[in-house]
Amino acid sequence: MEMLSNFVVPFLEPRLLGLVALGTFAGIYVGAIPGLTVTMATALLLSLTYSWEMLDALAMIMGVYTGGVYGGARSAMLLNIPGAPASVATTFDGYPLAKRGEAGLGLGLATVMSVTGGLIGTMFLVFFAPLIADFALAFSHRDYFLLALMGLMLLGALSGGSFLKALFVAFLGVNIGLVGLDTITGTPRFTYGTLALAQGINIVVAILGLFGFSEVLMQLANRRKSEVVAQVGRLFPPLRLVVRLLPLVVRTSVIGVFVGALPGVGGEIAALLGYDHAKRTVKQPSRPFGEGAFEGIAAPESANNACIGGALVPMLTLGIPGDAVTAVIIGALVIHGLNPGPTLMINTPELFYVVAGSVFLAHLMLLVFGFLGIEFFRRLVTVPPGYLLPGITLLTVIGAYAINNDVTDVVWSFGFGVIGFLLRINRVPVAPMVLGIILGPLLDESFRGALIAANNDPGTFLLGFVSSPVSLVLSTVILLTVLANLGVFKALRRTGGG
Amino acid sequence: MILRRVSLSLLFVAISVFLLLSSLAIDTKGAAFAVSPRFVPFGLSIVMMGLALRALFQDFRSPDGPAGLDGPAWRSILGFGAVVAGYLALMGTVNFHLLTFGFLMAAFFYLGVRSLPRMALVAASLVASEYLIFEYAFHVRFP
Repeated sequence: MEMLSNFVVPFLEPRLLGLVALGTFAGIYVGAIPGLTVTMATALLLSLTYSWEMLDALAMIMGVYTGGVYGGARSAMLLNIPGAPASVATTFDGYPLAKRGEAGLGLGLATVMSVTGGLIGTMFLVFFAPLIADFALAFSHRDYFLLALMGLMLLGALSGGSFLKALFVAFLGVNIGLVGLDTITGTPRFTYGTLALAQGINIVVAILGLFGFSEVLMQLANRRKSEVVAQVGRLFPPLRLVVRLLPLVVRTSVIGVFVGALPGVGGEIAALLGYDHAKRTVKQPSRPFGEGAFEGIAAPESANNACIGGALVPMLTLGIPGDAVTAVIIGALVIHGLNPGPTLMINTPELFYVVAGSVFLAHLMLLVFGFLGIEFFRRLVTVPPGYLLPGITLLTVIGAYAINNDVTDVVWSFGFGVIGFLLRINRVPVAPMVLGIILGPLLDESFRGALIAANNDPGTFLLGFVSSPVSLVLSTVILLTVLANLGVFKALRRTGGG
Repeated sequence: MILRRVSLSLLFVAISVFLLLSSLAIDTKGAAFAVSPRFVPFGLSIVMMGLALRALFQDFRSPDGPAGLDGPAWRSILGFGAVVAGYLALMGTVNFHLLTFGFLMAAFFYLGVRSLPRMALVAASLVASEYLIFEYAFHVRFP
């Protein structure tokens, strides 16, 4: 009962309610603008709320966090530029849907599914936090390696008919992700003696180029051929569609919660795994995946918002950040004299439930602000190319620059844009490269970490895949996916049938 | 025709050779090969070379390739690319907001917009938004 009373504090306290609302509203716009990250916004907020009451500061930060994760979907769907890495998977079906003249429905669906995923994630946070924390702690280097491999399985869904070239591009992405100083030994890799490359290539810079600038070049190349879809369609998704997608959304939300709970693994991987899950399990999608399937929007959007609840679990129960934003929030707790870690829940249990209540409230606010803002955003698709293309280019420039306040990043971004354009005119998708850049560092570090943990003995390393329950489950899923991708099950059914 | 068909896979072969040579230059810091920072990039470049050669073989045998772009499409891209290159080249030498305004006006004009007051209004609005959101609210220091 006491738990419930703390949970509803943000709903009943007008000051907290207002701060959550303000944070959510601001977060949506921060998330929608490429280059402005939720981490940047929460860090800035930390300095602004330094002298505030602890709960006031946390309420606003939770609002920005929630709104920011959701906001990235808007530019992803309307401009093919993910506002944040967590929205990369939303472009796969969101942008084709907008091009079909159904931008309003896509944004509406993303809003409903983000809210659903977020609420499921918060419920997991409230009721199963200790269980999820145990699960996260049970993850070894080997399991992170398997998780990265699972993410790479998505390649089959993104290859667009040219699997060989898509695989090449994905591996190229992995190598690009490894540019910079090796995190284990500090050895420079692919830096060619330049300082600019030593810090690595920022994923946002690559995404802005590969999706944003390459889209500008594609539109320039097809200007005489393409018809501008100046309609945006309906706004609210039909109830029947929402109900039909609900079982999928529940599954992808659970994926999001557990991925979010893993330290160092964020919403981008949750969304990619969610999309992959939808691609593999939905036998009859509303439309083919990659051509505006509703399932391709619902899955990543629910997974990345559910990730918030998951990321808060290790932060609140163990004092370990689940992602960059929760690392900043830990800073906020320390500034306000609290000691993040297992004692936090013992000494200040009310804080845990107020945070969970704020996230829950922020998701409900999303429903209001999300739909109110769609009308403004969806008009973007009706802007004539003469104005839109320079606007996207400017967004790419500013977004890339704002990451490190460095013009070199802008040049990199345009370089990625040209690469993306050359790939796309040769019918090779760019998404596998982004997949590689995201998963590359995780794959490399976890593989080597697992091998070091096995005393560099290949036998012990391989035995670990079946001796640990988590590894066994992940290995089995990967094996089944590979077999399914190779068509083994279909062949077996054919053999059995006749 | 054959060259156009195989150009991308040829580029892939060149990239994989370059990456292979680059990965060989990575210092292993005396660590065992499998746990050294060289292992993953080296292994990947070997696999990439195999994939690139296989793609080259397939493209060589395939009767049709991507349609490619015609002259006007390339001209349109190169012209816009020149405007963007000029914008990047002048960054740091001219006031960023003025430069951005100039870039937007030039880009609008290049893409066929001819209403000068409207162009100026849209460009000014975008520059003002960029200033208020990035520089004023988020303290981004532009060059």
